[in-house]
Amino acid sequence: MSKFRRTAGLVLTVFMIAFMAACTSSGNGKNASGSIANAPSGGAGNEGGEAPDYTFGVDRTFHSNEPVTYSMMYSDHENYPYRKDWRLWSAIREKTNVTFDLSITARTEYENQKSLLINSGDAPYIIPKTYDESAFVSSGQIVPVSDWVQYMPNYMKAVKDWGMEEDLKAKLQADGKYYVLPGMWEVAGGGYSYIIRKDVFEKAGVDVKGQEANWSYENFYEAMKKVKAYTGAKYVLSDQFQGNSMLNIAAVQYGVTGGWGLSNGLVFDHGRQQFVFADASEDFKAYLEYFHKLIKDGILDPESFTQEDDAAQAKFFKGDTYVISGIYQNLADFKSKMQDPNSELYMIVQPGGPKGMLRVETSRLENGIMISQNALDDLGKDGFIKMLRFIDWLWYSNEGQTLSLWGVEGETYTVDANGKIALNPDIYYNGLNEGAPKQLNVDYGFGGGVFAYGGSKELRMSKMTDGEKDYMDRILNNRKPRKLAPPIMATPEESEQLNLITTPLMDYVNTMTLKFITGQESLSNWDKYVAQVEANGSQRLTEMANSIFQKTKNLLGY
Amino acid sequence: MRKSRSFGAFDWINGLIMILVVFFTLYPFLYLVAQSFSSEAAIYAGKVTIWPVEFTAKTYEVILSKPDFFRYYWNTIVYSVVGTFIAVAATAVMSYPLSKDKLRLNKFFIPFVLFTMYFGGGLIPNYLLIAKTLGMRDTIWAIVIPGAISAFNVILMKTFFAGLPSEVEEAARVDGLDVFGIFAKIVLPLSKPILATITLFVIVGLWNNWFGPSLYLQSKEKWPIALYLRQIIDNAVSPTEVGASSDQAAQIAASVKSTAMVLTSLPIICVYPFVQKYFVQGMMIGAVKG
Amino acid sequence: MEAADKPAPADALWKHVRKEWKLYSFLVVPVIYFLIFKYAPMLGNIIAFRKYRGGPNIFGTEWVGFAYFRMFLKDPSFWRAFFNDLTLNVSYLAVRFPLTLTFALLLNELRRVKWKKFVQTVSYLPHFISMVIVAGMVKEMVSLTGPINSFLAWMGFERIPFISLPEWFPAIYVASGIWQSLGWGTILYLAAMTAINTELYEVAKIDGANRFRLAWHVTIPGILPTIMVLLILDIGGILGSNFEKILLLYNPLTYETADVISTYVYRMGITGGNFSYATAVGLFEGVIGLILVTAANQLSKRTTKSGLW
Repeated sequence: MSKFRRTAGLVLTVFMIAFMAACTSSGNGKNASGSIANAPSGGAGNEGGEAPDYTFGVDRTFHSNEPVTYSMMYSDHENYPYRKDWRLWSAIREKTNVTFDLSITARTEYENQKSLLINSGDAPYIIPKTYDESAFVSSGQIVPVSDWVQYMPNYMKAVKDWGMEEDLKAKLQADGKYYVLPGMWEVAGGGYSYIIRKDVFEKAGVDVKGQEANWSYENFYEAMKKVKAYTGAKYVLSDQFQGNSMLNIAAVQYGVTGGWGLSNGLVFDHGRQQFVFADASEDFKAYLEYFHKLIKDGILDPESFTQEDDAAQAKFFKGDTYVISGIYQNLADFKSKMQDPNSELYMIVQPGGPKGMLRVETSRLENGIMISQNALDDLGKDGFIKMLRFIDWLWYSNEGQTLSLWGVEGETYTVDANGKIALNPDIYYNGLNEGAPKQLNVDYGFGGGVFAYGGSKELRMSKMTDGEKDYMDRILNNRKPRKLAPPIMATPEESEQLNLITTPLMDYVNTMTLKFITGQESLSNWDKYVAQVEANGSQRLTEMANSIFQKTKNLLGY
Repeated sequence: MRKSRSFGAFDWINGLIMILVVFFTLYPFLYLVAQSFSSEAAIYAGKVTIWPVEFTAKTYEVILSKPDFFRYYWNTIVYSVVGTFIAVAATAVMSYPLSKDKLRLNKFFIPFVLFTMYFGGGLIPNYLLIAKTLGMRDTIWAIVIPGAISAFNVILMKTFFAGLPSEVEEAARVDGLDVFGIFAKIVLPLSKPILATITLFVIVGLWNNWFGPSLYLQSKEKWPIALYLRQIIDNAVSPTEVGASSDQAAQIAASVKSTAMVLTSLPIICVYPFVQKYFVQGMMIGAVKG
Repeated sequence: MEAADKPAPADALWKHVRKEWKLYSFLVVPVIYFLIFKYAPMLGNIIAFRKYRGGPNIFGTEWVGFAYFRMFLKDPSFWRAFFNDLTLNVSYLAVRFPLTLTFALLLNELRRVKWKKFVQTVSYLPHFISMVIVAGMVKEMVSLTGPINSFLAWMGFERIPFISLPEWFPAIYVASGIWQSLGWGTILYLAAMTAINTELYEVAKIDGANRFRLAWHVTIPGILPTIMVLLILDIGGILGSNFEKILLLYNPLTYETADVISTYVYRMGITGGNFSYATAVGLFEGVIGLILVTAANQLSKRTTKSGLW
């Protein structure tokens, strides 16, 4: 194998971590109270208007007098492959007179390609599907878009109406600016939880409907024990995602970090306004003991942490197991694959824990758009602002969001007297209209991940099935929102230093977490673990994080 | 032509070993083929072993009905054939002089080549070179030129050339052929085994190459089949994507990986039998005597 | 000796080149190709010594000397990864090398041509199955409910969770590697075998050699250059394990033995300076590879008279 491949592979991997890091659902999107100290001056005179060659504004459709083209990256999802003749493109063009010059990349290679294009100076103007922009900040190729959002009326309105200032703080970089236009939701999503076989649970004597919303992890354990006793199954829960979802959502309730949310092991103590290393605390021990109990009692399959997702799902479909982690889309997907025709799938609210009945999903931000410096250089200030206003319309106005998600009224959906959106019965999307011959994303290009995200509560609920709405309601009614940690606004040098400590440190924590849980390591060696964590630099890490926080807390409003 | 010997104990043992090898290498492949023809329910129930259970060609239908699929196939064929031709020719031309001990500058050139096996430029410098400086972005040249000559292949070919008996070339020189003539008319025909081998290596590599295309190809129409396959197989990426799988996709999801794999690898596997005929012993006799 | 009688070395060299110009001319285009496509990008490695934070100024912003090298050389986790790289590759090499050669020799002994072709073709099949699928298959094979454990249980042994035990990872890595590459690895040997002068076989047989002696005295010496070349190159590559494969097969429980340099760098992730870090590691690996391949080459020349250069 040629060395080019190998070195390329090496450097390539470095890029891929950005994408992996972004997989965390409750990763870096943490809120804090207070307002952004240097929020750009409000949208005065921005309610709308006529620029010389286009229209824009809060309740106006963006429209350019002359046809205009913007270059953009497009992440091609294999489930709905790109088509030139999608109605999406013509619909956008009809309304705005804008067409795209697309740089199409396979979804699986998207992060790689993004990194390459940006770092070589070749990036298209618009770079969507950005989960983690921090890697690109110091390249000088990305516009610090916080300086420009004042020109975007719909964006500013959403920030104001939905109170997004605190959420946006999570995106601040060391220089007090942010570099991505994040997807914004009025309400947070439901997030990952457990999908259970409601029919089996109820037959085992568990009152799902009545009690599930009040479950703590201990209650959940009791329920699963009943299921095990009733069915005699080897395991009740054999998980996918290598256990990372399960560990993550539980970590929140125990006040620690784990699974996808492992990150740097730090948790923010709002009372004392400082970071604390949580993954060697007594809370962490309780967390580990819980999962170890699940394994000892034959409830949790130890292979959850190593098996492929397909294997875990197969066990669930077959009926060998009765609980699996997932998001609501998985539930819709799984229904048709269950072997037992009488199976009833139900998504429980994430159980509560020692720290309370906390809401897991708190971030209302999701992946967003970076703007390349090339746009500013090529278009000039006025042209650049014009492009921003187009983006503002397509991604942040209700009209634009509705188009991206649902398509064209009359063609793909209808609106009833109450203003509710109904997808045409011959089109299937996200569990709606099962069995329909056409698909909203595959055939029309609407409802795709590159354009259709973010929006009001109404819009979010409009694409949900009744089951998902119910799930969301249960969360909103039974779980307390929580304050999130401020970001650690490290300079590139500080990031380097932090990284040098966190990687080996958290590798160790990760390994030991699994070893304690599966029993490979006995919990009686807990003190040895704590000492080793210390030796690996947990104290140094905490000190660094806190000193950075002290330096930057004014920017964050603390 | 060998005289047939009696079938001894060794042959029995050898035969047994071969059967074991065949079993262990064929079985997983048959399993994949079987899976690609089985119904989803059967797969999840774990019933599939070697034969399809609840035979269905639905997945094949779905994949083959996409017009893009054949375009990707065609692209791959073009890339592979063009690339292989360039690569084998260039490698042979480079390896020949390096195989001659009498060339003193080889002491410089061989390390010159070898060095590139251990040091490379990295993703960004290569991209800057190929896409920007040379302007090869979104063209076939970005696929077939950068990797055309690999140090590994050069070393293999040079070793082979060096192993050819020198009498043959001497005889040709006496007959009045110059270096170019000797290379073309004597050496190359004698080198069919190594040329076939390198051809095989290169064409398989190009056929399965998705990495370069993913970096340098911008338009989807130019994708090779390997990139398409990778998209389908490698869904180890984040599941937090808007756009849940549609009904149809869900129905065949279980067997889509194996079907895509079978479709992609079948043609290239078939290349081997064509190449095999060059691995024939006894080519040397005629050469030396003649 | 008068100076005039001895031509200066440079002159002698120039004369030599002029004499052999036709042969050297073969090299012109390929060397240019190498300079453009292989050597020019290498200039980018300079960022191992300079701070580079991304962006098209690929030569970085300021000199930092060996700072990045110090970073990983002082990191015990890096050395653990380094050690794992060595262990995995040496084990793999030690098993694969004799097995592939033996298999090639055994194939050579098959007399029914159709059978031989069939076995050969089938043995290549694993090479064509993409790594992701192979990893899935491996995991299934070694799972607690998979065939291997079922067999163990049937024999009365306890089931072993192979994929989560660090002590089993090398075995899994090597065994699956053998499966993938055994057949494919014989191609070169078989190609080399066809170039052996069949007269040598005839002569040896007349002398009464049985098949083992034929293999030892005719076949192996006949393909010795190929064998040594492959061996030398393998030794040079001892620090480069299959990144994708390990990434797919490892998990935090097996980091102790499965984490190698490339996966460790991968987990170090991306912050501004990590391009430089990764490049520094790459240079480090490259230097070691060069040293190893040179040493192996010298050793080979001394013992078997054939080598790379």
